[in-house]
Amino acid sequence: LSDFLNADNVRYLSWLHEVGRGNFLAAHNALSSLAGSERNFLSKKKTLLSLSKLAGLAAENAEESIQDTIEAINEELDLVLHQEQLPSKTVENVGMDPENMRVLSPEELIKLYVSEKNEFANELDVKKALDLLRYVDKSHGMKESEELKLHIWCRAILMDSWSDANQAEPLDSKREKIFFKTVDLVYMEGELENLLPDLDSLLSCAELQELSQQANFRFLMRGGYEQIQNALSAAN
Amino acid sequence: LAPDVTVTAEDRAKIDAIDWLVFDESHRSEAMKQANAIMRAFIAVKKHLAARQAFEKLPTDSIDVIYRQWHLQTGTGELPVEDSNAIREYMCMKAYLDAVESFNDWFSLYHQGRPAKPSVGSEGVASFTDRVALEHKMKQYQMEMERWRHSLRQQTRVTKDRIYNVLLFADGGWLVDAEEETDMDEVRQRQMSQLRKLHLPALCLNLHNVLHSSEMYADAVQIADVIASEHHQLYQDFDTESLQHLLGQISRSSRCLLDENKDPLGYEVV
Repeated sequence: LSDFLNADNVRYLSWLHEVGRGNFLAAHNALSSLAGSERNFLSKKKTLLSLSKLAGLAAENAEESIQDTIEAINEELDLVLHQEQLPSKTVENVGMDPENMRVLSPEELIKLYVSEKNEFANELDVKKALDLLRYVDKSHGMKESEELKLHIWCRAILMDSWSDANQAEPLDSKREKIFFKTVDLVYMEGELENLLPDLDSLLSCAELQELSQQANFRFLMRGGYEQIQNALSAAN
Repeated sequence: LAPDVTVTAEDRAKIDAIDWLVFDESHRSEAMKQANAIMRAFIAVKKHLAARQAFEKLPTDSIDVIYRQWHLQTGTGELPVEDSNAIREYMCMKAYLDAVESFNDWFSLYHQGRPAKPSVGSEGVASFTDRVALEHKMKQYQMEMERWRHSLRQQTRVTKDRIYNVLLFADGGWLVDAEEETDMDEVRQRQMSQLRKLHLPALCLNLHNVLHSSEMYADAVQIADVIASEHHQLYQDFDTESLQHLLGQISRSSRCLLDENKDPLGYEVV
């Protein structure tokens, strides 16, 4: 019977059988592999992950062998949570029903958090996008994650208008910018050195091409970066 | 929950003792702490009626009174940690008693409230008058069934909300202090953690029972989401055995979903 249940089209039933037999470790594994392949329904993926976690915890004498998978499940649940926290307006803007979302990949989620579709995005959204980068590292490696990182910071810059800067106190107006507010948030977690790209690669991004021509913008960015460097070297 | 409705003379004496602390408003925060301690003891042995009576000894304005008294004494609005923890515990007790009572109401409605189907009688429907009488009874029965289903749905909804109120108690969970006291009362801490382990798994099972019996199978399966969440960490109050039992119950709901031609979590099969 177990063989039959492992066949592809009835695989979604096997965990029921295993729970019935009292084989919770097998149920745990079956459920997490189902969760891994679920793409259509976010809430379904969440329940599969949750059930898998509970089955793992219910398995006797398995504390050590399942530690890693439980942690992996928690990471996945965290990703689900990030998607659930998207403002429902934003989800609607991309044509999805907030009550019935499909599963977004970490890349899609990052892009959505900082996209124009997320109309009221602020530094917290940018921070979430940065937090999500670790999921991309894991699945795709460095190059893609570096590109996404630049994209996130570019979008943070583009969320504000830079032309109306207060000419008398330029460094004060800087404080109001989402980009620098995000820098503060990341700095507080001590992640700034890992997450902030250097100024030149940022300014040479295609997304910022137009803005980089403006002397005022370049001036504010240089000033801001200088302060950041000072803060970092003072901390070390 | 087999509710213990007996209130012995000894219980009564404990409950009535709260009266002495309620006369003077400046004693109100002490009254709340004592009432909480008495309720903890009652709830630990499932004496819900006695706990409710102890709860009702405290006037409903007690939280206001405690704030006002503290303000009078010190001029600040910020309560000492042990007072704010006591208030929080009092709210936890209220949420729990509400949930339990709601569940008991649901239970008796489900098991005793269901209208009886009129019996045809052993001799069958012989005469015309018998048939008319039976038809009339059937019609009445169907109306009563409809009414019963309606109130059951209502009661299910209320019970579900109230149990979730306990399970998802804001800022850290049911019977967990929001702030740590410098001078910790270890007995109280131990009692609270025991009450969590004793009652939270049972409440989850009751919630499952309510949803399953009301044929809300998909909701019954989704209880897993709440229990497994790192935010609430309810799974930590389960031991292996009760988790196994819970998963068994959830898979029972899944099988019912299969019978409805859905997948085990209640989604359409693609």
